[in-house]
Amino acid sequence: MKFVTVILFLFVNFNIVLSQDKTKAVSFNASINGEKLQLDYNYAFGDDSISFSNLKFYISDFKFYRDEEFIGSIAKKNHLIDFSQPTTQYILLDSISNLHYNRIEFNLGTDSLDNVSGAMSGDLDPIHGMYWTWQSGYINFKLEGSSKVCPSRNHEFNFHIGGYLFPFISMQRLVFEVNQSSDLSFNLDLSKLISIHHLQNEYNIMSPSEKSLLFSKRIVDCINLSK
Amino acid sequence: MKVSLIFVFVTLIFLMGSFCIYKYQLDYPNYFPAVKYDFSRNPLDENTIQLGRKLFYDPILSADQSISCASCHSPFNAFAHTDHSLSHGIQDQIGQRNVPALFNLAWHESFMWDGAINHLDVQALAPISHSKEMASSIQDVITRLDSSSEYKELFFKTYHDSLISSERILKSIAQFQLSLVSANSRYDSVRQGKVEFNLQERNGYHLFIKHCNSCHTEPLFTNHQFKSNGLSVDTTLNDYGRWNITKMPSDSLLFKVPSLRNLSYTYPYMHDGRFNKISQVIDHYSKGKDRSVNLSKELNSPILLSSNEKVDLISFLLTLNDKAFVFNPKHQFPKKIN
Repeated sequence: MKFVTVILFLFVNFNIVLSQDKTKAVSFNASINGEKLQLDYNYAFGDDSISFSNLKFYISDFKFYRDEEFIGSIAKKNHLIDFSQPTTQYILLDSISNLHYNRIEFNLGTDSLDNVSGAMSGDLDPIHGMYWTWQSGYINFKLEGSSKVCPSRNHEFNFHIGGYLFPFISMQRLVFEVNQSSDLSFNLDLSKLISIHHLQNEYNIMSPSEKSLLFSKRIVDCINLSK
Repeated sequence: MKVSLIFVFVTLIFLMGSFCIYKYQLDYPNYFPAVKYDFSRNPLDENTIQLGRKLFYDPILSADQSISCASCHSPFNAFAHTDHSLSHGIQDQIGQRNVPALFNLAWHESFMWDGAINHLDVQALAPISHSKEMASSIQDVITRLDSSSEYKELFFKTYHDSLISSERILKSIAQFQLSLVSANSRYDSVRQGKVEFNLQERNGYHLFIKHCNSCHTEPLFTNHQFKSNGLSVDTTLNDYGRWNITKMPSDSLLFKVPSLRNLSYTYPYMHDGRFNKISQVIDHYSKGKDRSVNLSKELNSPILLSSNEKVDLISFLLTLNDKAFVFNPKHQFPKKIN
């Protein structure tokens, strides 16, 4: 009996290892001046420097398609990508990795239903600092840091981008054509997102507004599938 | 085998007993509308209500452990506050708004004077985090509660494990607030056929229906909408109400219509607490309206009342006081939770 149990245990574990080997993951990275982002590191920025202390954003509702046909999704709906916790930059595809897809879609941000559903746990727990407290709603994208080009106190910039109500719905849908062998690694180009001109004039966006809506669209333009 | 069956049977009896004892039914009259709160996501339960009550009265929620929810939302004021026109928070700081009363919250779909909060479960995050109220954070609250053996026990008793999470804290505070139902005023006794209005109250009721009911709609005495009632801007506050949230010009100076229940206990009145007496409020509607911005269409015509009519209207409004609610021992400071 003991022998059978041991064999069964080894067999199950062997299979788990095998399946883990096959499992693909979607990864999210960020770059500045072509380099991989490190938080709290000084990067050249024009004649000055820039550093980023915090980068977090929500990715939600991952869907996979073959041509126009929906073929699967990731069971977990919301994923908080937090660059201070590198493990969150990877989303395991589990059962999806065996499907034949050529298009993937996901949201940058949380949908309106999750914004009106009260207290949540997991990635949507307000302890993550991604829930506005003075008003209801999730911050979909948070980027904080400092640069001397910012005419603000301590030269800080704070981009807290969110909003689930019309006309300032900041959740954005991203669509990428891919092939099965593509490495699903996405990169946020911070050099493109943050320009000197922007930081001199626009360094604090912290509530749903026309500015936050435009910023959310700008983020989408700065996310690319790594080749 | 026999022992296992007995064990299963005893467990089932125990679970059924627990269900019967602790499940809590919100008690309200049949002339109240359907509740808006989705109880399926946070079913009421006596232990959770008691945990929420303990948290509501505990200054452990604030950064220096000096301010509780009840510091501003006093039970004797129908969970409003009468000492200040604007809220009084941590280190004697004064906020921007008059403290709203708390009752019949299961019928609300938004919270705060400007509707900034869309769900009761997350409302407590606002005062916990506000620098002039509790100046803390939900993470710090979890840390403080985690170091309390008393709370560990209470969370275990409520949730059957001692994990203290933001979701549990917020939902338990919400449950206590949901249990605050005010439906035992003289008006309610009249609605239930137990007593009759006297002549003055009846006249006042008819005036109320004619002039006030479209916004302060019975039986909850609010339509829960945002309206401008013609108050001029207090330039020391520059509070534009609903506009702060939506940024829509048409929402400038709109504030949530408050319930008129428990008026005697909840002065001062208006979002900035500018009126101390009901008679001042009635005078405002008779002659004091600022017509310049987004005035509610219900107020296009002046509410012209004689002196006698004003007295009659006030007589009716006083029938909305719910003494049984205000002095209900179940809502007071929890001396001990068993």
